[in-house]
Order: sequence, then C-alpha cells, then structure tokens
Amino acid sequence: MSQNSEEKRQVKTLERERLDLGRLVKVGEAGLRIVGDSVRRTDDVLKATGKLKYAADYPQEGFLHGKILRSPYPHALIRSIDVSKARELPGVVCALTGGDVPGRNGFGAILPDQPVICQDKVRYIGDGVALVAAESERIAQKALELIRVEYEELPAVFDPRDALAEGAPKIHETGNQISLDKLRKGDVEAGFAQADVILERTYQVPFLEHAYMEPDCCWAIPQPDGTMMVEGPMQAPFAVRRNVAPVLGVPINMVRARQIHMGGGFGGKEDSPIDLCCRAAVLAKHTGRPVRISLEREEVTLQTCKRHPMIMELKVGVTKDGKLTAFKSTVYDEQGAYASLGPKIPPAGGSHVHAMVMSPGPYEIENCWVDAYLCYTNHPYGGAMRGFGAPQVHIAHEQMMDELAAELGMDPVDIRRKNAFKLGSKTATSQVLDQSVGLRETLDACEERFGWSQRSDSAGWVDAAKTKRRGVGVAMGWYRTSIGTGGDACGANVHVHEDGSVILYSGITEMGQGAFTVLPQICAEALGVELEDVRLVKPDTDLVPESGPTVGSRSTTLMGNAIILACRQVRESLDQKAAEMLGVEPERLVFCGRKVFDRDNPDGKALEFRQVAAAAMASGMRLIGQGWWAPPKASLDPETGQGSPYFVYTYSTHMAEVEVDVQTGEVTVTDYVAAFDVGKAINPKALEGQIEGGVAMGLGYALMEKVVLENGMPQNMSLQNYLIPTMLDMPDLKPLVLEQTNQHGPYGAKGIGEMPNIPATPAVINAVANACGGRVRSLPANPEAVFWAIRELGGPPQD
Amino acid sequence: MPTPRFTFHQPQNLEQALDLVGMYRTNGKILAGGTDLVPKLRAGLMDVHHVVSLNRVPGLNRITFHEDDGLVIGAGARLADVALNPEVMKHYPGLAHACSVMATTQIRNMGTVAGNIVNSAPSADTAAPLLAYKAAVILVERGGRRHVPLTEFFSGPGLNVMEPMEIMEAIRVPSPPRRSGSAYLRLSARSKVDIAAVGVAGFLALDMDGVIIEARLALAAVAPTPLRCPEAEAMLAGQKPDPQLLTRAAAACVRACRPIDDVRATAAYRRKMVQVLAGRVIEQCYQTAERGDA
Ligand SMILES: Cc1cc2nc3c(=O)[nH]c(=O)nc-3n(C[C@H](O)[C@H](O)[C@H](O)COP(=O)(O)OP(=O)(O)OC[C@H]3O[C@@H](n4cnc5c(N)ncnc54)[C@H](O)[C@@H]3O)c2cc1C
Repeated sequence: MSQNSEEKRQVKTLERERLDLGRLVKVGEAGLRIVGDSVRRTDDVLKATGKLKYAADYPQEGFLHGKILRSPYPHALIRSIDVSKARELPGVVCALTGGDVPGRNGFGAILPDQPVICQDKVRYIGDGVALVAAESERIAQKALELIRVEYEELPAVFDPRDALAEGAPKIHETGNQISLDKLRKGDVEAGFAQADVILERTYQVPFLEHAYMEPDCCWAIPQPDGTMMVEGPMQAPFAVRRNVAPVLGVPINMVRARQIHMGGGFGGKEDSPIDLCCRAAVLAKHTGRPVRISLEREEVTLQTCKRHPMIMELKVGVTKDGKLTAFKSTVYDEQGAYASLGPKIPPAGGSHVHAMVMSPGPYEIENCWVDAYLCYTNHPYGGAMRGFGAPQVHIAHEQMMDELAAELGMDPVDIRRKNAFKLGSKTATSQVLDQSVGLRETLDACEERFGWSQRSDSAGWVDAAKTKRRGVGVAMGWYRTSIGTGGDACGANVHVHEDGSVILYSGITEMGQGAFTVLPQICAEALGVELEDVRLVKPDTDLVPESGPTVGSRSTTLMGNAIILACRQVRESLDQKAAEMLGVEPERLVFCGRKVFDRDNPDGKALEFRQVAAAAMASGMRLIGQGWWAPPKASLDPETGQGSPYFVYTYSTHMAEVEVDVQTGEVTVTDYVAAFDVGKAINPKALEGQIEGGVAMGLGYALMEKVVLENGMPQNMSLQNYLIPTMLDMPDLKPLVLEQTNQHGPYGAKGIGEMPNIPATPAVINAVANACGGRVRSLPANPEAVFWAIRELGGPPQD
Repeated sequence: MPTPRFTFHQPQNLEQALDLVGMYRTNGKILAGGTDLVPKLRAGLMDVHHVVSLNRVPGLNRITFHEDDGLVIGAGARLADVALNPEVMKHYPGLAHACSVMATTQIRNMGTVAGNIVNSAPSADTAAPLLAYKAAVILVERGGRRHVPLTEFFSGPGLNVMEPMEIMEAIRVPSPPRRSGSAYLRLSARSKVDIAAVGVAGFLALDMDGVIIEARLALAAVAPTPLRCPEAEAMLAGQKPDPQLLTRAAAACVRACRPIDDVRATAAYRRKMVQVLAGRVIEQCYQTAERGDA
C-alpha cells in the first residue's frame, strides 16, 4: 500500500498550546524520547512468525464444546422445546433451555434485553433457543438436530418506519420505539427563511458486518473456589464480567474475564463476547467442566451485532455565498432485535445519541433540528462498529454538502472552508470548541498534497473511447474521544522494581490497533526508562483496575492519562530518593533513558534509574502507583440535545480520486490523501496503520459492503459473498498527520482509532458523483448501483 | 465446524486412480487443487468418505501446444501455470486472461482448469473462453476414453455429463487460425478477487479483407450453464464489424442469456452488462485479429 511510507510519514506539529491548562495531566514537552517515536509494535514479530496464539489456537483437551440452536424465524413464539432426544445422544453432557439459566436470563452491553436462552419468544434469526455441551463439536452439532422446537410465527417488522407505525407487531413489551432523541438549536424555520437554496435529500445505509478476521471464540472454566473464569478475544472484559455475574447469579468478584489477543474487533467484539461468555458460563456452570464455544464465519454473521442501518432525511438551507443557515434531519436508526449499544446512557453514551449529536457535521450552523428515532425490528441487531453512529450521519451530511455546492455552483472545498469548525466555534449542541480544533488545517494540508484545484479541473473523460471518467471527492469529519457516559474512567497500575524494570497493568485490550505498544510507550516516557523495561500485564479483571471498554477511540488518551498519573505516584518516591542522593531539589531532576540527573547540570553526576528504585524500595517507599482518570464531565440536555457531550474531538479531511466506467458502473479508487488532527502522534507508524485500515474500511462501506437480508435472513453469510475490500482495491494512500495539542490528553493526544474510516465513505461517493454525475444515495455504490444512478441521469456528462 | 473425516487416497498412476474412482463411485470424490472441493467438504455439503487425489499422477499437469494439434491442458495443470504459459498467452489470450484474473494468487496456484470445468459453476471463468475456442474434454474410465465437446458438457448449475467413474484427463483446444483474435472480459461486484457476475468470451477469425469468417461468443454467470451465442455468431459471420453490427450482435448475446437475481447482481443489470461486455469483446477480438497473423 505505501511502499515509500518512510517518506510519507510526516508529522506536522501545528501548535503547542498552553499545556499548563491541562487538567491534572501536565507534561513537559522537552526531550520526548519514546513518545512520538515509531517503535515497532510489540506483537508484530509474533504475528508475522505465526507464534502469536489466538483463541482458536489454544489446546482444547478437556473442554466440552458448546453449540447454540438458533431460531429459523425472525419473529415467533416458542410453543414448546423438547431437548430429551439431544440429551440421550451419547457424548452430550447437557442440553439447556431458558429455564436452566441460573440467574438473570438476559444480557446486553447496555440493557439486559437479550435472553441467554430464549424462553417464550424469538426476535431474530439467530436468537438462541437451546444450548448444548458435548464431548466434541460433531456430537454437539448432531444434538442440535435432535432438538424439537414448536414455533408459532408472528408477523415480523423489517423497516424502522414500519416498526413505529400504529398497530405494528410488538417486538419487545416496552414497544418498538426505544427512543426519540431531539436536538434543538436556534430556530430552523428562521434559518430556512434566510437561505437562498434549500435541498431535501434522503440517504440510506445498510447493515454492515465487521468482518473481523478472527471468528468469535471463547470459553468458560469453573475454578475450584467457585469463580467462573471466562476467556476469549474481547474488547470489554469488564462488560463481560458485568454480564456473566448476574447471569450466573453471583457477585461480580466471582467472575474473572481475561482477554486473549484479538484477531480484529472493530467494535463487534464489545458485544459478541458478552453473548458467548454468558452462554459458555451457563454451560460450564451446569456441567462443572470447561466449555468452549467457537463460531464459524456464517454463525458470526447470523448471531452477532452489525453496524446500524439508518435512513436519514435531510433538509438543509444555505445562502448563495455558501453559508449554512439551517440543518434539519430525521434519522431512523434501526436497532434490530436487541438494544446492544444503541440506547442512551445519560448524558451522551450509546451509539444513537452519538449519531444525533454528530449529524449536522463539523460545521457552524446557527439553527439545527434533529429528530432521531431508535427502533427495534426483527433484523439482526446493531452494535458498535468503528465510528459508533458517526459514519452513517457523515455519509448524509457530506453528500449533502456536495449537493449544495453543486446547486450553488461552488467548489466543494470552498463550501466546507466557509462553514468548518475553528477554535471557538459552537457545535450543534452549542458546545464551544475551546481547544485543539485542527479541522481547517486538515483541509488545507489535504488540498495542497492532493492538488485539489488542478485535479478537479482535469476531471472528465479518461479515454478516447469515452468509457471512463475521472473525478475527485472531498469529505470532512469529526469524532469524539471517549464515550460521553459521565462514568468513563480508566485505571492503571504501575509497579517499579528494584532493578529498574516495570510492570504496567492495564485493562485496555489489543485488537490490532497497537494499544500494547502505545501504552508501554507512554509508561516508559513518563518514568524515564526504556520501552523494553516495561512489561504489560494483559487485561484480566482479577489483576488490572477497571478500565472501561476498549472503544470510542478512548484508550490512548484516557488510559494514557491514567498511566501518567500512576507513574507520577511512583515518581514521588523516586524524586525524593534521587534528590537525596544527588543533593538537588526534586524539581530539578530529569528522568530520562534510565538515568536521573540534575536539569541544570546535565553533564554532572547521573544516577541509574535502577539505583534510585532500589534505594527507594530499601527505604520502604511506595513503588506501586495507581492512576485513575476520567474526562471532564459530559452534559447533554435530554429535551434539547444541548450541552457538551464529549470533551475533545479529532478532525479530518479526506480527498479521493476515482475512475468510473460509465458503461458498467465499475469504480476504481486511484488516489487518496487523508489528513488528521490527532493532537499528538504517540507512535506515528502505528497511527498510519490505523489510517490505512480505516480508509480501507470506509472504502468498503462506500463501494461494496452490505448484509443482504431477506425476511430477516442474511443472504451473504460468508466472505465469499459478503465483500470487503482487498489490498488490490486500495489506492496509493497518503496519510497526513497534524498535531493540534489536546490539553486534556497525554502529551496532547486525542483518539484516532475510528476517525479514519468515517470521511472515507462520503469522500469516495462524492468522487464517484463528481466523475459520472450519478449519485448513489442508498449504499453501497457497487457497479450496479452506479450504473443505474448514471442511467437515471440519462447518461454520463458529455463534456 | 467439525472437520470432515474421510480416507485420502493418493494413486501413483492413472490406472490406480481409475480403480479407486470406480470403487468409491457412490461416496468418493476426486481432488485436484481442492479449491472447490475442500470448502464444500468443510461446509458439510457432501457425504464423502473417500477422496482420491490426482496430484501424484505423473504427466497430468502437462500443457503442450502444437501448431497442428492445438493445445492440450492436462487435468493437473494449475490455473497460474496456464495463465503464464507463453503459448497460451500468445494463442489463447482470452484463456490466459481468465486464468490470471479469476480468484486469488493462492487459489490460482492450487486450482486447475479441469477442476473449474468439472465443478461446472455457471460463473466458471475458464468455461467461456474455452467454449469460444471450441474446446473439448477428454474423459477416461476403466477401458474407455471419450471426447466431449464443451458445448455438450454442461447440463446445469454444478452439473455435467460426466459419469461417476470417469476422470477428466485433459482439455483439448484447437489451434487458432492466422488472423484470428480472442478475448475474455468479466465483471464482478468487487473488481478483484471475486466470482464473476458476468463473463463474456469471444473469438473471431478474419479473411484477408478483414471480413469475419467465423465468430464464436460465449457467456458465463448469466445462465444455468456457461453457453455459446449462436444467433450473435451468425450475425457476425461474413461481415465487417461496424458500430451498429456490434450493438446488434451484443443484443443477440443478451437474448441468449437467462440470468437470475442474486447477491452479486440483478438479472436486469446482468443483461445490460452482457450488452456492454459483448460489444467490447467483439471489438477487442477484431482489433487483435486485424493486427496480426497470430
Ligand atoms: C477464494 C476462492 C475464489 C475463487 N474464485 C473463483 C473465480 O473467480 N472464478 C472461478 O471460476 N472459480 C473460482 N473459484 C473456484 C475454484 O477455485 C475454481 O473452480 C478452480 O478452478 C477449481 O479447481 P480445483 O483444481 O481446485 O478443483 P477441485 O476443488 O479439486 O475440484 C473441483 C471439482 O471437480 C472434480 N474434479 C477435479 N478434477 C477432476 C478430474 N480431473 N476429473 C474428474 N473430476 C475432477 C472434483 O471432484 C470436484 O468436484 C474460487 C475458489 C475460491 C476458494
């Protein structure tokens, strides 16, 4: 993808703002050694040599194999279940139905509305109605075939608008509408009155599969003391523990959750391990034996969460010089069968509220009005997926910006520059952006590197035969760091030993994003030791402090701060000891590269870090630090959607060039530039990896991805038919990393994990529209959709 | 998914292979590259107790070309080998192209042309060019050998005229005349590494004045089997192509196809694409044919 990435990796620091304003976490800028360095990721070699063990690689001796019998109907009552034949099959150890769940028969990342084993009703194809544990997978599979279930089919609902209609079949007792969330700023009608142009457009996006490389796998092992240990690839071990405990009917301290290195998560493994661990734990509890559940790819598609589909009806007003005056949107956010991560955790947690808050885009608009419905349907359920509601709404507002620009005869870059956030801007929730707003800078950087004006001038026919047209597209984006729940805390422990080695305990998980590299980098920097001195203890709820989930682009920033605070506690002892030993004031000490010396006399006497650590330990001083950090308080008025829901945002601009075969609708992305304001790049190379992967994902969303559902049944369950981009679909990608210091972040960092895939989708779609005139408002823009969009226009532009 | 269990046989010559295939005709399967078979076995789609590998049978992987006899592709020849074979690239560019763009590098290194044909998917990428080249397959069984023209080989999605005791030994492709040209174009929902949603192959032979003596067109992924387009072929024979003729011949190809809606594309779109690709294929064939005596 980027052969010459060394040359491309240029991190540009925009501004080092008043770092002293940082709440709690104040760091000296001078002499950063490890932070900012593209050290090799700690798991790279293990992965490249195949030595890293994923869950499926662990030995299975002594394990029972769990299987789930799933509903074939999207909506039905369970009349009866007979598992007796299954129980009689030799090798079957237990076959369980709803009544067998020892504690609460429900789990869920936010609301426990999903049965561990459905008892009276199923709500989607994939709902579990019985569980089996057997000596082998084969026997367990056979046993499922012996279970007799009588269903009474109910009418099903597959469109969120139908779900809201009066008399619609009720999916949950609480009704189909989970919430109607509102955002009200200014007076939209007055805003429309000021507008010269008003456009109304509906944009639609489908269910998406995460398509993480590693299908889900987990196990539960009953411990002699009555503890249940669950292990597997998981993004949120604490959420797993919080669910398994009540399902077993035991307190939280009787469940231990441990993460195994993930082969990709993208938000999906926030939910699915809750599901699998609860079920494995119930089977383990009944049998008293370790139980393993491992899903096939098709089962992952059937059973686990997806990216929420949305229907977004926009009406936007703009003056003739391109100033946005009013934004109005009605969002139908399809939750599917279960609540998962959709509903609100006050004030601003949950994907739905996040989507609502982000929906007017990173633009100054005086008057905003959003009605956002979240509804149950009988489809699979929506969960977290890289962007948590933000990619969907970006697809709407970024297309709308281009449609408005076209209507005004304006350059898409100019209309964005006219409205984009800057320092001091007020968002749609009236939050004042008082720091770290590098959005315009990303636009400038992108424009220059991409050569926007030349390229947009040369858009048009590529070949003499007039089969292909070239076009360019731009999209901007913003994304929060953290989750806006008001309880978004992270804890870390740091143990320094007498030989100068360090153990870092963190509950942030590794799924390929580089947390296990970046967090030790921060720890080593904060203590003044080398990276190899820090060993990370992997997430294990028995060992590490609660860290919350590894989601929301929060890990580096929130955990980074917790680590710095933990290091600081230890440094208090070390400072005191070293000051004694060197005979200088503690304030003058510098800890750097395993050495401790006097700032004012750097060539004078230096102590070894380990000497100081050993001396501190011998005098009984504290060498264990614990840091906790939570972002500044979030707020969002439940009636008006006004407040400060998230404490800082990452900003980005993407530019894409595409070629469209106007006769077939095939699209090739030929060039790509993506610029980001990340606050601080802790590890620029790892960050670039996030950008490349994220853009690929966004490109898939634009051009090919969709879970095709027929009567609630996924039609493309394997990766043969569920298409995601391959390396061959990727353009030459040039990432640009800018740093506009985040005063609340460790060394100025903000989140980056989700941002890269968000503007990628509309940038590509806009480029397609620019090339061929056809705009696909209901994704994906696969060749067929592009072909029909061009036909609808009556053919491609002829110029 | 529990891994399927079966006995794996590795015959050392064709006779042994034929014996085994005869013996296990009800519950055995032949394995070449395994790229179609293994996924099906893993998905539990077949009740197979014996797998007979052809990979140790000597000589099966040959690819030979003679001006007079044409091309012989042994049943063991890998897609990648066919794609990169200089004679195939020179004389059968449509086939070389099909073998180089289908599937993935790994699959092309394992999969065989014969396996692609025996598997008989409607979307089989090598089928359309081989039909356009008038290929025939050589089927052997204990005590017998028969040649079946490819036009008579396919009988439905995944179905063909082979008997359970038969092994495909090779594929024969006639030598192309001078002043001929051929091509294959395919389209899929994802441009790379994806099963074709539409495939069109063509072959044109010209006389010295540039008049088409013979035309053959074949389609994949738009009917229950890969198929030829006799109506379009007849339209082109005896003519010099002009834009109207191309459009009419391509429209005749559309009439030949019987596409369905599936997750990859709708039938309506497939028809439109047959029109586009057939036009392009005919043009490409004509240009290469005119250019040289290849
Ligand atoms: C990821 C992936 C992508 C793919 N993409 C494409 C694609 O783009 N286009 C496409 O056309 N196909 C594609 N395929 C399908 C497959 O790779 C091809 O059909 C390949 O050519 C099959 O050859 P094989 O040698 O692997 O066949 P095998 O799997 O070994 O055999 C296929 C069938 O033929 C039988 N068989 C094989 N050889 C003989 C013989 N000599 N005599 C009698 N019976 C025989 C087997 O019993 C089996 O039923 C793809 C497959 C995968 C897994």
